[in-house]
Amino acid sequence: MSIEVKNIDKHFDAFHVLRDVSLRVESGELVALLGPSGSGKTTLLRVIAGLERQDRGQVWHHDDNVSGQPVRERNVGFVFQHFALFSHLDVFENIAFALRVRKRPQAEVRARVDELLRLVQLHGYEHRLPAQLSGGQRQRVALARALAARPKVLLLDEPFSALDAQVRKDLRAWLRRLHDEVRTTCLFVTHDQEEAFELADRVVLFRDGAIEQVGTPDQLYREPSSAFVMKFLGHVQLLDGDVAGEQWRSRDGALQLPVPHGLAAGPTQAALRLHDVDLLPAGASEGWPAQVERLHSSGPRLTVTLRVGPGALPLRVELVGEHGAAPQPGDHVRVWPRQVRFWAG
Amino acid sequence: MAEREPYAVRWLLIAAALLGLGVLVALPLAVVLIEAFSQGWQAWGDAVLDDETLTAIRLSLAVAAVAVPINTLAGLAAAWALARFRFKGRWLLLMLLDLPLSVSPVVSGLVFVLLFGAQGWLGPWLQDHDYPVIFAFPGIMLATTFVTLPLVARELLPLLQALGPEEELAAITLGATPWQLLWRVVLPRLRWGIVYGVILCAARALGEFGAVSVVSGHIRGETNTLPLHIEVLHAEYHFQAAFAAASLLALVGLLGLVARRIVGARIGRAH
Amino acid sequence: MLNLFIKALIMAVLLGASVAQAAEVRLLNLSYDPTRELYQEVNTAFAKQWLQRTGDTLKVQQSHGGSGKQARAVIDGLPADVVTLALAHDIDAIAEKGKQISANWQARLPNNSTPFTSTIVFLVRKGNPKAVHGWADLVRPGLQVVTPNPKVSGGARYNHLAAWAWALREYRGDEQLAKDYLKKLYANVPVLDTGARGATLTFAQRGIGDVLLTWESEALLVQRELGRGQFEVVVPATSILAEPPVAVVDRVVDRRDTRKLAEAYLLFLYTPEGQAIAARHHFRPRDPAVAARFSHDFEQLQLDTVTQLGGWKKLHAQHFADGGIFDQATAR
Repeated sequence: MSIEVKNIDKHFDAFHVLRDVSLRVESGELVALLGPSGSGKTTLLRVIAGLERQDRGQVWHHDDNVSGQPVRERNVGFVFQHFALFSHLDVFENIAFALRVRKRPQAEVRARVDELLRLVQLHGYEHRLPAQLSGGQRQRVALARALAARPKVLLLDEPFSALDAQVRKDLRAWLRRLHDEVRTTCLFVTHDQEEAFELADRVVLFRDGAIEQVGTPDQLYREPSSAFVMKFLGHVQLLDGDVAGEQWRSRDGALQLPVPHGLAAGPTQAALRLHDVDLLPAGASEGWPAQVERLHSSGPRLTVTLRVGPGALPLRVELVGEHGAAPQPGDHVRVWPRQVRFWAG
Repeated sequence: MAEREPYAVRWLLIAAALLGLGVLVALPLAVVLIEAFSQGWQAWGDAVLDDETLTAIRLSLAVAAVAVPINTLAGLAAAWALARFRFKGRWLLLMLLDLPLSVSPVVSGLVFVLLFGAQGWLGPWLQDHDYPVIFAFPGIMLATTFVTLPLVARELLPLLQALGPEEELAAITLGATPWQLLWRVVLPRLRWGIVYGVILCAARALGEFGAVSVVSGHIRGETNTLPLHIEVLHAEYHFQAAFAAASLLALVGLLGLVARRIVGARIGRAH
Repeated sequence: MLNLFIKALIMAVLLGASVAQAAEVRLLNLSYDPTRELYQEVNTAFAKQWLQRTGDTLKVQQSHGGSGKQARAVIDGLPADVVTLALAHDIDAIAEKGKQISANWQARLPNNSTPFTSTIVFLVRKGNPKAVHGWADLVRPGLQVVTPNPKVSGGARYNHLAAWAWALREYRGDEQLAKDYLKKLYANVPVLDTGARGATLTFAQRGIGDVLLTWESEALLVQRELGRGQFEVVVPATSILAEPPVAVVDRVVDRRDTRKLAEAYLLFLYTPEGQAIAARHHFRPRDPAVAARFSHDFEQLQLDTVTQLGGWKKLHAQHFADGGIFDQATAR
């Protein structure tokens, strides 16, 4: 079942939360809605479900315009950020809820819930109350509950944000496998780019209520459409400067970079990925002179904070894997960006 | 010294609180019970089983039996609407809900006299059709219902707000109709809150004096509710009988308190 | 659950309805505060007579409260068959504002529709420790006087007018000096209850005040019911003749078809039996024979009448209307 939204606009009082959003999700696809908080991604999810009514625009489920349909007729599976399990019902009745309200026969309910319990690996837990489950187990019950009535589409709102780091990682991998198994069209909201990249076939990046870029994780990484995309994906540093002729020059004039031919003159940001910067010895013939200020190690990655040039511009460099003799705070070095993108503005 | 001072202050506060409560709450309660039984069980029983006292008890129970269900339904609807929906006039509904608590019950009673009294807006019509409201059962019931209107809603509103809308939204996405939502999700989750509100509402309905006093007409053996009858007994120098009847109300109050503690603990445990 | 609710509602309404239809023949007597005990006895005696006369079981229901408040309730539609209030002005108010009683009501029964009279006396604590003997003593600094609020209580109006009548005589008709006297008097009043019975309880039960201004009947009743030698009645040299009137409420008796019964009930008050009951409850009987029989129960004193003072209409406007002498006397 494909999902399509066309020209969606939505206000919360004076706040324009969705601006002319259009998006098509193909049947069986797993798509992440990514963006900072307040960028409109959760609102779009709720508009697709029918939990919010758009001011303008249409929502299509396959060939049906469901724009005016109430939530319960849309048959979507919705997984809430904090699970929203029915606290007064046990696991079995939570999962059976959608079947009970549809007045399905007991035998069918029994069979379907059993099947789902196996799918989410919670067999034997059917008579527990939600309060007696761990966070990960609750999330799996929420998933099973959402899948019970075989929804046309599964919508997940920040499904892992309420969980511990380790549980989150496990559940992520498990969700990907589950999706590959049931092949339900699936949209999930996240503000974590790592999560989006690991899980999704395609990522939709939101900014201020509009879609900034849509593409596979690889496309977003390789061909970011804006400085915002680059920055949101992380490990990027933006330097303010100006282009004049064939050269980019930092605001204080101390740093210079050659620019590709044809780049328009004027204020321009230079975007450096932290791991695309080389650290050279102080005596090297090229690069900007810099002094090491601080070192910070996180596993395989060593982050070096430097002061570059006469203006002591702060710059961070990431060294990945083997990095031989690490520099020490106070050392004089030279740095040179291997790869730079320029963004006018 | 700096460490001992808060200690002394603490004991002083506790002593002051106990003394205050003792004088203001425990002592009057003790006086009611002592006076009620001052002439023995027999006299207490005679006073309580007196025809006019029994009529007053029946009237009070009948009034509560109408006011409590109405307020429970209205309170549930109002609390749900206020907790879950943003709509025009929401502030107005909130204000109206607080009105019975913020105006004096006597004023509430007078409003009904103004509406339904012989000189009021609807009074002449009601009188022509021989349908008495004021100074009769319907008026007492209306006044009591009005005064106790906010109690269930005020109990449920914070509970609903604390529970949050997500389980209800989940039920809707799972295909529940509004009716199924109410019966399968909202009511089960609110059940102890409703019980708590009902107890509060019933205790107040049985004990309401001010508003009822205005609309009752004080007809002995007919429109005197139990609290009004107690006043009559007292005014006629039947002090022991007045306190015997009052001891019934005190008993209802105490039972209500115990029930509320038990239910309150259950609400606490449900979260 | 809903069915249960509807059932409960029906039950409750039936219960309420059954409360409303308890008696065979019913008469509602709406009265003022200090007549509670009087009418209890009157009702029993009259019901017995009525049963003998007609074979109907009669239940007379009572409602008591401040006279002005009770009149207001009738105006607002309280279906009383008869009103037995503290003063004619309150029944006039019903006739004027509610039109439930015909304007000529006072002419319909003997003695201006007043079957018995009373007066205002003082009740003091045992041994009269503050030595209160007359109206002049009430304005002594530091003395506490208990009287209800004349805006709503009939008894309080008589208290007020009795004081006024004494002051006018004392100051040879100088109204300004009489007003000053009332101002000083009310300055000595710590609480203004809404009815005579409330004031009695304030004085006798709560122990507030040195002097209670009250009906003669109420003072004697307190002495008997609560007395145990705790209180003494002080009869001042002059006071006012209180004439608590009675009337049939035409609108109600015509609708309920109880006029005959209501008229018989009020006429019973004039019979020797009714008069004797009144006398036993310390109301002064009109019937000369009965009065003679109980003469030793009532002290003789000089009594001014409301008519001498100008009549209720004028007195109400002058004293108790908004901004009148009472308001002036209690203004801070």
